[in-house]
Parts: sequence; C-alpha cells; structure tokens
Amino acid sequence: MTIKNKRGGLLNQVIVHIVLVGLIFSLFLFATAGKINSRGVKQQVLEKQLALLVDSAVPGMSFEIERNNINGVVQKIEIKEGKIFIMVGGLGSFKGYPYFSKYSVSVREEENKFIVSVR
Amino acid sequence: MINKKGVMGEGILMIYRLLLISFIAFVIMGVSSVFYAHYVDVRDAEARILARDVMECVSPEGILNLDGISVEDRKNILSYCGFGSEDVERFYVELKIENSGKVIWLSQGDSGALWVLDIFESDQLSEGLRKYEPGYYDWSYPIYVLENGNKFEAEVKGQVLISNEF
Repeated sequence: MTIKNKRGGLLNQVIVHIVLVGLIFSLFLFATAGKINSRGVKQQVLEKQLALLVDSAVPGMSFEIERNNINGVVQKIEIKEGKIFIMVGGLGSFKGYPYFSKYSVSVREEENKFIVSVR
Repeated sequence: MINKKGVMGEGILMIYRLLLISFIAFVIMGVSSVFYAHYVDVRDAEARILARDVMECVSPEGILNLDGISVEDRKNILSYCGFGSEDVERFYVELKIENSGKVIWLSQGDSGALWVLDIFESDQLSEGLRKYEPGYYDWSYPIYVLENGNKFEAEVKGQVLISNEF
C-alpha cells in the first residue's frame, strides 16, 4: 500500500494555483498597460490629423510624418479603401479613419519618415 | 490509497477559482478601458472642409452657373462635385439659393440626419452619447447666380452634416 505524502501533494497544488493566477494577472496587466498608456488615443489623433490634412489638400501637396512622432513611434502608414491606417507604438490599426478627398492619395515610406502625397 | 473523489473535487474547486479570478481581471480591465478611452471628434472640422469644397465646386469665382447643373445633379450635388459614392454615405449637404421668393435647392444625402442633430442639441444627453453627435457647419452669404443667361444676385444658405463613422 502506497501512502501518499500529503504535504508534497498540497505544495504541488499551491504551486499550480500560484502559477495559473500569475499567468492570468500578467495577461491582465499587459492588456491594461496598453490602455493606460493611451496608445489608442494617440493613434486616433494621428489618423484624424492626417485625414483632415488629406481632406483639405489640393493636388500637388504632400505631407511628411516623422517616425519619431510626439504621439509615439510610427511603424506603418497605410491608405486603402478610402481610409487611413496608422500603426503607432506597436498598436495595429483595424478600423482606421475615412477621408473624403476626391483626389488620388498615396503614401511612400522612407528611412525616418512617411510621405503622403495628394495628386 | 488516493481518494479519487477528493482529487476531482480539488480540480473543480481550482477551475471555479480560476474562472472567478479571470472574471475579476476582465471587469477591472473593462472599467479601465472605459476610464482611459477618449473619442477625438473632428467632424465639425470635416464639415467646414466639405462646405468649402462644395462651394468652390458649384460657384468657382463666386458665380453659381445653374445652367451647368442639371436637375438630376441638383439632387446629387456631391457626386456632381466628384466625390465617390462610398465617401458620401455619412454626409448630408444642402444649399438653398434664394432670390425674391424663388428658391432653388442643391442637396445630397439623408435630410433626416438633421433631426438627429436636434436631439443632440438637448443638454440632457450624457457624455457617453456625445460621440454620436454629428458634425455640423452652416453658412450664409450673397452670391451671383447665372440662370438662362441671366445673372442676378441671390443668397445661398448652406448646411453640411457629417454622421459618425461607426
């Protein structure tokens, strides 16, 4: 007859509990940290600023957006389906913001900036 | 000898505790999302830009040539000005050209959106609903109109309303 060591069994359970609770809280902290840093608000500001610039532009104008922006590090700017998507501070953009310019708008990536042209 | 029922009970208790902790974590995260989220509203600025574009389109150099705008185009003034059909879904534009009791309308969009604006002008709405308030701009000034070869002075009153993008 094998007698199970009760203390060893209890310790195992406690460790498993602690590890699982720690995993849940670390996921929760990472997710909350993103919200507290207001990355979403900064992304909104950049997308809407650029949309307004594009809306009010006439053909021949172009705008430069530095990668090291006051609203964070801009990793990617995309213009597709009539919307502007800006990835900033590691936060991807899924909704974007629509613009209504009737001219052709394109974006070109350079080493330390993005150039948005209206033609 | 291991008590199998006891072991299963421990497992169920652990699942329950984990679910409870996850629920608490989600609630705290949800509250912090609401607290730290902020909607940046630029629709009033968009309305002004669109108003400028429409006026430059219909009256370049300050003269509105009605002979060049067909009856069909007068009801689709944004399309006449070159805006795509996908762009105009959120917009309502209305131009009322008045001269000596005669009124000519140029418009496009759903005029029902104006009563939505009236609802939001009530002070009783909460801040959370304010992000659904449409952007709006209106203007009025004298203009020259060319119709059937006759040039006369009229007054144009315009409104632009931009709905939310959600």
